[in-house]
Amino acid sequence: MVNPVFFYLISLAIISTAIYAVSSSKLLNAALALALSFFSIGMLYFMLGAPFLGMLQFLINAGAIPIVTVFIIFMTQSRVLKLKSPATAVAAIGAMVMLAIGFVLYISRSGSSLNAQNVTPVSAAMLGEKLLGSAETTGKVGTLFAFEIASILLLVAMVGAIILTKREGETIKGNVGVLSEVEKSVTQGELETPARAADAVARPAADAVIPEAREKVVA
Amino acid sequence: MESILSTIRSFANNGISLQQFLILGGLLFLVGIYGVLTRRNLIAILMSVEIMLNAAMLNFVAVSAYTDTVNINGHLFALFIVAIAAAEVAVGLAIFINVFRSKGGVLTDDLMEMKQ
Repeated sequence: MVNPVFFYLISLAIISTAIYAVSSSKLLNAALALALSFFSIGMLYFMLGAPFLGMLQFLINAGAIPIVTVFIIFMTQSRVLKLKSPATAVAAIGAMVMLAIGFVLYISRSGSSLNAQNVTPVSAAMLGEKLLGSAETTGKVGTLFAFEIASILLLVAMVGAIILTKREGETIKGNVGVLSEVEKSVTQGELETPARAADAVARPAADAVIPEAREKVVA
Repeated sequence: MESILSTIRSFANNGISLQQFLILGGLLFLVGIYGVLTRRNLIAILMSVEIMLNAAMLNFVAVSAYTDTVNINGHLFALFIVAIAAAEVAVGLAIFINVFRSKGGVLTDDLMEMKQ
């Protein structure tokens, strides 16, 4: 059973941190508040009998995504931002209030209240069976096809992110061997801008250059 | 004093209905909409979209927990939402880096070529 005291405490945390995340002018604080909000939502998943989803929420939504967001905030140098004019904010708040009133009216119209007296936790094994089960193994058709589509989507997103962030004519050397186009010995994982083969041949090998000049090249 | 205590006790023992979860999810979604409408930084807009996705996820899980004891369809939808949100964040942030390189900023005002 979901305890009302904890429900209202966690709800307060979720809503207040979410409001801070969408209204703060300091983008870094907003990203960390967003992580806190997602963490609180993960607690609600545990209360709802979904421990696997709760852990997933902690790991991905409250862990990985805010870290990536913070990195991008640093890389794009947009830590403090100007907010839009008050008129737009007032219009947005008005639209929000109207939507909220409609939503509450819609909810209160459909009377009966359900109470989860005994929430049975959904184990990861049940989820996996439902997710990956086929007609041969479990007798029921699962969501294997959608699962494969999601995995392909993630692969495409990963490759797409690498391709999109790569500069024009830039190669990644060292451990990332797939993208190296010029055969040349450089230090591990070093990024270098000249990608034309002529430049690479004309430049002496990195080991042969004296330290000062090498620093200059790296800078 | 006794009546207050009994009120608190009944409040704590009654449990939470599905509607309260739905209202929480709806409020969270509205907070996300507010962020999308008022923010002018692309990263902040993406963060607001994340809030909206999480509100939808919370609704799925709550409905799944309240309808049946063995109903896990909502959990499956939540799993797919997590995957799609991760892909969206990866590609979106890569695009923002490109925008920053070509325009010098990630504000929506920097991306106004189609308007002219």
